[in-house]
Amino acid sequence: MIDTFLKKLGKGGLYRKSDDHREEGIFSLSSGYITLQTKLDLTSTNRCGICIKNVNGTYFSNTIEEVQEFLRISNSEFRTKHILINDKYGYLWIMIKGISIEDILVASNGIADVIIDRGFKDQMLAAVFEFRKTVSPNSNLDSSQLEPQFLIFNYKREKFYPFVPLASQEKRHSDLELVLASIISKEIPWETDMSVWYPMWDMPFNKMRT
Amino acid sequence: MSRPWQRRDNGLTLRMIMSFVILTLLYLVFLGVLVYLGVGFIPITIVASVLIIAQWYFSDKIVLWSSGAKVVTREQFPELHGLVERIVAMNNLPKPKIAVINSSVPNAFATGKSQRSSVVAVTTGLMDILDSEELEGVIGHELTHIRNRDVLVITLASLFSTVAWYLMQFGFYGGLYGGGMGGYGGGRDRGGGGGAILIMLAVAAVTWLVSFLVIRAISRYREFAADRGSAQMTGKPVQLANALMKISGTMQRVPNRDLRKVEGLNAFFIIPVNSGRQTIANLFSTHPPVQMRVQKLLEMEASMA
Repeated sequence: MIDTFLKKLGKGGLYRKSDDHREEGIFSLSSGYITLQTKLDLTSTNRCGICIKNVNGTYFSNTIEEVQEFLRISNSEFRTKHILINDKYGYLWIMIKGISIEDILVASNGIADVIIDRGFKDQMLAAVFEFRKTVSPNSNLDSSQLEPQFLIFNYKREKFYPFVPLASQEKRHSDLELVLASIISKEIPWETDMSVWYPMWDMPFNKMRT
Repeated sequence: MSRPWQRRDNGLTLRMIMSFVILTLLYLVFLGVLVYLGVGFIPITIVASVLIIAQWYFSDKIVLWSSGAKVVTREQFPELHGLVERIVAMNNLPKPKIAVINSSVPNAFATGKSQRSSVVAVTTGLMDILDSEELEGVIGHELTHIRNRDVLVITLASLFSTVAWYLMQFGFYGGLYGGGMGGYGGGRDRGGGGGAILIMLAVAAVTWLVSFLVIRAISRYREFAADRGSAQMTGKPVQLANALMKISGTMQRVPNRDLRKVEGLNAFFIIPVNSGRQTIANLFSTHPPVQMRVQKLLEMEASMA
């Protein structure tokens, strides 16, 4: 079993050409985050969550077991930590925390590879990446701007869209979402159809120790 | 400091001049044809001129009256007045009169013959759905219409269309009448009169159609210019983008239902992204599509970041 994981670390697994644009899609963030940093002072918190629809049965739970095994083995390489959380919607979240954004991009992609290899592609819902405003000493930002801002990658459409929830209510900061769109929509695969910018409320980011 | 959105709009000036040249030529050609055909030219001109001057002179009153807008004082709407005053003070513009329309439909317009006598009108619905920054964006847009003298521009542009329209009407009846008289006179001009009517109608129709389309094009372009002006005035293009989306109802398209709840409805994910533009409809509309305006505003926002 370990062989499979090690193979994934090599060219054959992680960077293989695939019929979908998932990899290049997610990896576009490795340059896109610099734009967010320089133009919006938004930095990656190096945390991401992968949201998967739960399936009953041992084959799926074995797959998740493999994912965890993969993360444990690759830990030394990617410097990531992870936890699993089941949410109230019946979805499984694999929450990853890394040292740099590359770590979480590579790790999230490896996870997707394992899950897709086991035939659960249709269960993959979204990968969510968290960003926050960098606070400089002389900035006068209001508190709403310090809330986390998310880029959601929809695995079905293989595109990113913004999601900036207002703290403690099911409402969105549409102006901040539009600012995000204006800055980064040309650099990463972008969801131009706003009618599918579905929110994801109560994501378990706060359940991860920072 | 020379960012793309800050540059002066030379394209606008050029387009305006070109449009006027084209319209004037069309107008002259049309008149020439009428004169050549011997239509009673002087009465037509007098009536048309009077109507146009009246339309121009009473334009703001007509607009305010027909829209039901009431000019309001600072005491009645202190916040709205304050908001407008902040923008005009920052941008060294004369303060317009402010009018409010009691309507739940979110909308705004500017009117007036000169900068000093201009009026900015907003509906109560607009004030209800927009926050103050978004409202600033909309007011900035209307103030740019005033600064660019768009009311005058559009009125003048419409003038040609209106004149062509009147002449077409008069020409049509005049031509019939003339043709009929020719018949009584012994049939000498009958054949020639019929052909002339057809030519004249064709020329009039083409004149009117082209001028109509040109006005629509000018109008759409002025909207973009006003969006850009607003972005310059407020420095927050994204707020106007937000406002436009709210007003047009596009905002309602941004969903509030959780992705995990709609995931089962696979239909959501196979709807193709709508890229087909309705070009013909666009030709006839006075405002560019909201999506395009929002896109341009977001580009401005990106260039300001």
